[in-house]
Amino acid sequence: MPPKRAPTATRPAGSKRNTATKANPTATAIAVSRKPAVKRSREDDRDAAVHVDDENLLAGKINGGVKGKGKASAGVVEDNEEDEEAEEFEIDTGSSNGDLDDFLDREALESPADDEDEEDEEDDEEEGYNTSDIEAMENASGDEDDEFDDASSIASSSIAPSTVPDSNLTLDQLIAKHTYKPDENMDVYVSQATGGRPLVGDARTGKFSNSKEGTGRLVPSKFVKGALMREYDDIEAGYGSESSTEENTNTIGNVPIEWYDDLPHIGYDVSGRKIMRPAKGDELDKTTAEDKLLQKQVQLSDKELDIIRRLQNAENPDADFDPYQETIEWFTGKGNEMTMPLSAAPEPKRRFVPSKWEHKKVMKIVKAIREGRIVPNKPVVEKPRVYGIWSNDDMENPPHAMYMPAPQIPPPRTVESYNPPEEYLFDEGEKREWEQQEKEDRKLDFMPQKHDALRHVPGYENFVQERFERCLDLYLAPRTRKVKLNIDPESLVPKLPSPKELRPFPTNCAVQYRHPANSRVRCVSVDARGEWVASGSEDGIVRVWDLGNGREVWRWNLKGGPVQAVEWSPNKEECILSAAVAGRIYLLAPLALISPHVAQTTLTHLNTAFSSSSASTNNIASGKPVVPDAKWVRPSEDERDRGMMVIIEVQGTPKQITWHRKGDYFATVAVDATNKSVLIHQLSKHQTQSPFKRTKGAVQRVAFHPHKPHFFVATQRYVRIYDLVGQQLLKTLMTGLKWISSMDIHPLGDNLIVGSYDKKLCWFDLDLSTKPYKTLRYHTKALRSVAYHRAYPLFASASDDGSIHIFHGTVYTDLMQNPLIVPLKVLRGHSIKDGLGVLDLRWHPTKPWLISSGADGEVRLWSS
Amino acid sequence: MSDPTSATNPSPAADKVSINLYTRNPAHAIPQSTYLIPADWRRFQLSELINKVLNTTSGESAESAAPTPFDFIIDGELLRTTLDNWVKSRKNGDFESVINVEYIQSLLPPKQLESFPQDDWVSAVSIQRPGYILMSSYLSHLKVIPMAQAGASATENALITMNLPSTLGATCCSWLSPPTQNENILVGAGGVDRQAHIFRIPSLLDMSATAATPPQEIMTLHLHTGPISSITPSRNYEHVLTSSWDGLLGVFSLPTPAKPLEETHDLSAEPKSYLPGQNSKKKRKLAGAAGGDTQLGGWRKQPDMIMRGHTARIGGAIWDKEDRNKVWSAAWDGSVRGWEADLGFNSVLKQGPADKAALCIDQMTGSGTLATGHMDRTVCLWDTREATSLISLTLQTASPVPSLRAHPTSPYTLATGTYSGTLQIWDVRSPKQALFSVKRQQKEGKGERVLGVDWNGEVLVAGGEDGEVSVWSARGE
Repeated sequence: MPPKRAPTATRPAGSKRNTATKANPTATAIAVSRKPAVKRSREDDRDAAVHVDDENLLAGKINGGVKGKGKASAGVVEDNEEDEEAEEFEIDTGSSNGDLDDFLDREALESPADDEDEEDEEDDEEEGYNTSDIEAMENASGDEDDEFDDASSIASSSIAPSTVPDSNLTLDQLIAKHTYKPDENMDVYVSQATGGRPLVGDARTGKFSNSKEGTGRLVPSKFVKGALMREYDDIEAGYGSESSTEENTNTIGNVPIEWYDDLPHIGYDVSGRKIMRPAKGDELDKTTAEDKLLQKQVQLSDKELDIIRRLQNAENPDADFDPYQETIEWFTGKGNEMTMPLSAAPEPKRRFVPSKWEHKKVMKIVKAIREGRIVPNKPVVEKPRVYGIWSNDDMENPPHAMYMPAPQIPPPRTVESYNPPEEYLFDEGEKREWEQQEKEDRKLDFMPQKHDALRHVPGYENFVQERFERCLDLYLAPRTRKVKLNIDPESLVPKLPSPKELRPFPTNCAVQYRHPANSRVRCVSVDARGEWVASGSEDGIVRVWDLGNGREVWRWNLKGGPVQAVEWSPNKEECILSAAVAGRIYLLAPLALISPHVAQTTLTHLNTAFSSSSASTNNIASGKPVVPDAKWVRPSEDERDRGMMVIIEVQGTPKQITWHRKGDYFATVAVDATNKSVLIHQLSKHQTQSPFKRTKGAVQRVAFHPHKPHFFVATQRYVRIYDLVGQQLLKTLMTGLKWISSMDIHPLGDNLIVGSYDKKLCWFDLDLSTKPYKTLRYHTKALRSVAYHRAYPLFASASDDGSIHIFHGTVYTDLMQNPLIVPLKVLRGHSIKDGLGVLDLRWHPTKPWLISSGADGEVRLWSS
Repeated sequence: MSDPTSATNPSPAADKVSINLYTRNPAHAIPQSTYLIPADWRRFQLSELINKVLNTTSGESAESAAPTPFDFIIDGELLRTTLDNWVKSRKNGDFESVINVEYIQSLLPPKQLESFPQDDWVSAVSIQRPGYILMSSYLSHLKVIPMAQAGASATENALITMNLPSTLGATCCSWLSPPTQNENILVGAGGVDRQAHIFRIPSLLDMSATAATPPQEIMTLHLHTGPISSITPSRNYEHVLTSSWDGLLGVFSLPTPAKPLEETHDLSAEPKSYLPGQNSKKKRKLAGAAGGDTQLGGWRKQPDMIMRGHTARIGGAIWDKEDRNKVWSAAWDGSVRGWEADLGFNSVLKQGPADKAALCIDQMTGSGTLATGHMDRTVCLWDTREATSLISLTLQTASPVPSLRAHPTSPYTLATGTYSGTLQIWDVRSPKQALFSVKRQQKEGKGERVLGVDWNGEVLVAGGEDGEVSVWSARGE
């Protein structure tokens, strides 16, 4: 039974909107409690059916019976309109009849209504939906009165062909007509229901019905006999829909319901009629709930009770809710393994760009670590087992930035004791002296006194004064924080490769070349093949030594005072040794030691000019500046036999000889020859020229560039570079030295070292600047000689302190890389004599060996 | 076998050391086993132990044979203290591990026998002919000094003195005739004058014959353009090898009884003057003590073979002791080269560091290992039998080694002379330390450098800067 009734039971709720006044079946529920038991069981069934069908309604009931109230009030209004006095009867019959009628009508009319619906829809297709709608609105006001009767008559005729039995229909319509009191709104209702037009075929339109097109179906109207009304499907009242929260009809508003406790009614409906108090059931009946507003017991269904029970048990109120339902694996699990990425979109840029904010955050932490606010792996400070509980005096002050401890009072000394040892006490003399001294001059500002016991010590008379001074001290103490640099000095030293990695370099003295009578050896030189060593000593003798074993194999006695300079020609095909003494430059060739072939080329080179211009040994080349003081002299035959080939007489005392790399030109420097101090000699032509008319300052050293036609001139403070071809000054190097003693040019030609008498060595990078790239000061006395190795990246400096310093000096071809200078070794061995130490040094041309000469009359070979 | 521990040392030895004793000399080999030795034993006790074991194994009684003294080498170092001390200082007191101890026959330290003062630096000495010392000096002469027999007083008189034609000095000398040949003995010397000179001594035994026909320079070997650094006869005394500063090696043939000297000049004399202005007397003056004879020196000879390859001064060159045609040379360019003397072909090149200038070379007997003395204060051993190996062992000395000589029979010992004036006997089994190092007595005002040594296994002769030829008795195993 309930399933069959379900549509009918729900229908009034939906249709109520359209009809507004209609016998509400649920209104019977009001009467249920008062009715005889026969009726009651039936109504119960109906209620149950309602609840089964619509759970939303159920929920409304539990919350205060909104739905029930609405329905009930609708019914009450209807009833009250009919007759207040005979309400029971009226309601009873009306409700039962209407209910039954409804049921019967629906059953009977369902199929024809459907048919009509279909027809309507066909009509709709012919005529536009919107236009008909508008027309309906226009017609609604004007045509309703005069066409009303027609419509009703036509309606009956139009109903007639239907399958519903006429007798029943007419009877019902009659009853409805008489039990219903039409009001002013009736017209509107009808016109709305019929679309404001006669229900049956209008002559003007030729249509059977102008009723509103829609989804509703046409049913015979309950209010107008024979008329049709459109009935729509129920609207499912979902949560939040209008119907679910329908206002109850008790309009007392928000007043306590207790105010109506002593009244027979419980409030008023929208029309102002009293709503009577419903009957109350048994207090003990747990299956009912009280609707406070309507003051009645609402019967709870099993389902509602189940919901209550669930709520009491803190379970889900929904019985159908399954908390343990199977997980539906949409994206995971077997068969759903992801074989392709979810998205084919390219990786966004932010995945690769480091987060700026993260970086800021990290830098904040880094800063804190640097400042020491965060100390990683900070050891946990254990609280001492015993500590002062009253004060923190024994604790260190917290390292606050502004914390400044007061200057400490020095701890008391023994002399300040009340019972000092006897030796601290003043004797008479000291006492007198102390008393005579000014207060500021006293070493002690008190006189030590001896007391047997502490209790004999008198009060300290200067106490206030001393406190005052202490306060003054504290007051005047500078409130500045002296920051001690806590830098590891090792970290400031540049990282240099270990000398072990830079081998080979000379480390030990291998051979000594001993000069008789220990005469000072001012100069030394190694021949181009690295086999002979020439040395010039103060006894005026130039000696040639076997480099390997220190045997003197040849000597020339120049008899001209100390030999100032010796220098082998760099040409390997020849064997020419130049030596300088006061006023003379000798060109020597140890003919006995060299092979006939070398001897021949040497002699040819030296003697060609003699043979070509034998008339004049006083060579004056045309167009060249005459240097009358440079005279090329041919020695005597005996001297020539000894290998003394040419003598050049010059002004002053040449102190330095330096050869051009090709072995034809050589330059000499005689400091005391003023304007003619620098001379350039040419062997093949026996020519001498003075390149400078006037020199700025006293020239100390000169040098030829290793491969360019440049000429380096070192005066006392500056090094000037001249272009010999262009006859111009190229550059002046500011050495910053006081007195240059020596100079050498790197074999690649871009670097220069300069040694000075003021103990310094300057390294110039000629590409870099005219200021020194590095100034090294490590010798304790004047530097005498500096030299680059021709093949190895080594250079050395000799000093009067008797030591030779060996350096590694790599010059990179990359212009951006600075030369690498690494101190390697200090060679000690030469003894200091008369304040002079090592006087000269030379590198072996091919091996990392060094030859040095000293004031102690020794020449030494330092080998690796 | 008697228990050596109970036999020798009754003192309560605290610790015992387990050692393995072995030797490379089969004559003294004992059965291989590990001995547990009291830690306070020294060389003497260990030596006794070995003697006992030797006597026991050979079956003789302990008293019958005179005990042989032994020296003990642990980790390349001679044991000079107790085992206890050695373990404590070298092994941090690790008494548990077994120590391998090599023992060698003990040698007496060198003892100076005689000294022959000379007027100038002695550049080289040779005692390849028993009983006679041949020396060359920078005074440009060669001398033959008879070695005094044991007990006899030292004779200062040189038996024979031969002058080189120039005064520049002789740098090397050598006997060029086999020791068995008693007549027409050839000696050679190389000079700073770029020539090697061969002299013929009629006889050393019959002084009257020598007096009648004084020794005479018979050949002058012309090749080199720099001073001669070594002159060495081949094993069969048919050729002589010269090396020079110019990096050349020359092989010249020597006159033998079978092949007498061709008395012709192979090439013309060196030019007397290079230019019109140059005096023709120059050469003669340079030649020094030469008579008016136009025939200066011997017959000018050219080399049979020239070997080129070295890029710097050759320190020394020797003939291989096993291969007749093989020649080894060491030079200042750091290389040691092997040459096929008959082809002049450079067959082996062992290039060491370029700054490792070799001053001398000799070959160990038996093993074929080359020993070179270097300017950088080392003696290097080069394994010739392994083609890829370079320096196999380095002996550190205190100063450059201008001369060294390997033992004529033993493959282990060699003698060196250094620039610091010390004479050292090395055993390659103990490379960390020389077996013996004796310093020559230094004379006032003279240098101490030793320039030449020679050693025949019994007698060590050294000459040097102090102008003295000293003779030492120094045995080598």
